[in-house]
Amino acid sequence: MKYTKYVKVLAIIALFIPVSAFAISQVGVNIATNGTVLNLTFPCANPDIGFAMHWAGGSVSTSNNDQCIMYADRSGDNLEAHQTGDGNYYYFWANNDSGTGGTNMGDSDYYALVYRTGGAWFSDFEYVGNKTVINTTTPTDKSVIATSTSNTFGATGEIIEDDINSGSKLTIDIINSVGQLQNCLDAICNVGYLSGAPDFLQAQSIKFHFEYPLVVKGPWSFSTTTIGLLPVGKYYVVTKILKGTFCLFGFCAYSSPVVATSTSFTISTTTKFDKIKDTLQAYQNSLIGTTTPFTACAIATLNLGDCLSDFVSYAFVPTPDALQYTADAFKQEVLIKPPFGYVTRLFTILSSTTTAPLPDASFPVIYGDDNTGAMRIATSSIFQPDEILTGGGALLDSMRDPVYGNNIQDVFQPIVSDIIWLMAWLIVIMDILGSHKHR
Amino acid sequence: MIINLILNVLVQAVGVIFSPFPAVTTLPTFGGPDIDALLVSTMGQLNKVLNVFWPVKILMQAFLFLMSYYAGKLVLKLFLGSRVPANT
Repeated sequence: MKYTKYVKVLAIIALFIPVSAFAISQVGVNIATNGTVLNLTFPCANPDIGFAMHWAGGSVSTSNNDQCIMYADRSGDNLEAHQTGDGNYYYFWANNDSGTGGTNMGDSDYYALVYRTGGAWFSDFEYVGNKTVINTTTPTDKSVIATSTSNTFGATGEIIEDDINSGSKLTIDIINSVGQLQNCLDAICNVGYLSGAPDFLQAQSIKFHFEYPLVVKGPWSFSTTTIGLLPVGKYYVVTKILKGTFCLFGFCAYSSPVVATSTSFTISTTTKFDKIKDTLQAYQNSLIGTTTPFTACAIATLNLGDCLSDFVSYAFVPTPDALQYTADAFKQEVLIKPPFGYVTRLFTILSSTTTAPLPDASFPVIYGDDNTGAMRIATSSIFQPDEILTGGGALLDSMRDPVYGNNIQDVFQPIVSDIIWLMAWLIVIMDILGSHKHR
Repeated sequence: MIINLILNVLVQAVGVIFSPFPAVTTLPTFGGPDIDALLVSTMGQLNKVLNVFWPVKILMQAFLFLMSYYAGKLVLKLFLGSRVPANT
């Protein structure tokens, strides 16, 4: 009898939860996967109002600010919600960094995208698996931009701790179809061509390269300064997250891509003014040139010493971009072909950071005799090394010092890493120095 | 520009020699076992273990670095013979 009041309280809660859940989910977008239902409700036609979200795997948690960006902590749903600038896309992903409580249920492995087309909302789920991702790129893929519009490039995404070292960075490369020697034969590229414009205008090779260091795990966002106006044509954008390999004291011998995306956009001419401006700009470029390294050689700003220095430097010293291009070409032309291709493939597999779950060990278990005296044999999976490793690793990570909040790995990994790499480099240096000894 | 031009010409020249060959995407399979799939899954499971035992992970990376150094030496020796630097 003494438990009666607790039973009443539980009964009231049990009645309240289904009612509230139904009220929220009935106009939402239901996304079901892995036995978990994510109900998203969108009275967010006006991004300034905000929206409510309910995840059936956890408790109801809603929050918003004037930018319609919601952060629900782990005690609620452990989901972060972000909205892109145009208000037509929302994406959510699990955040393992903050909060406690709730059931994880593999939710960190999924990425929800909710988007609006023609006034209707649609949803999609993508597997993320707690990995480094590029979520959005600017300009958006296959967008058409007027020549009178200034351009800005950027990207957003997330990077995990394993992919962060001194060589981690975001790179954005933009090149037009002329630069790719495709001669703009496809229909999209021809859309914006200038009628009667001189050939050199249509033969400009445009290349941009941007780099942005990634030093902190979690979401990142990068945007260039305004680039200005671009000539007509089709442009290809390759966005990569690179991770340094063979690093010592902050210097990395190589950079290998962790993730990469390829998008494109088209610059099209829309007005007569645009055509006139492009034509004049093209004439100016053809007469004066746009190569900035040789500004010291221009008559107006002539500096003979700098001019000669620039000439010698650019004539004989390859730029990092040029060397990277040559190295990439060497890889594509030679290193992936037999017989070197087998070594490259082997090295790619050996240097991969992708993880796979360890297999469970199943074997027969003999139970004791029952009432009849018979022995029963049943197959049971009782040894799960993956669970043991995951749990053990999480336990180790959770043990942190009370002052700085660092765990064992945070404290000792830099020291151990430096010692091991120092030894590796010493072996190489001793091998090189000892190679010329007289025998 | 000049150095880069020379390097690019060399790369293209070597590329022409290797152009008839298809790109290697998977390791060859001898007999029954799919070596490529086996290695990929093994390395995935090894990475899972190494993520927990991180000192071993650093040792593995250093070992791979040394192996790539010695592999590079072998390639140089193949092309340059006894004139290769670090010819021990």
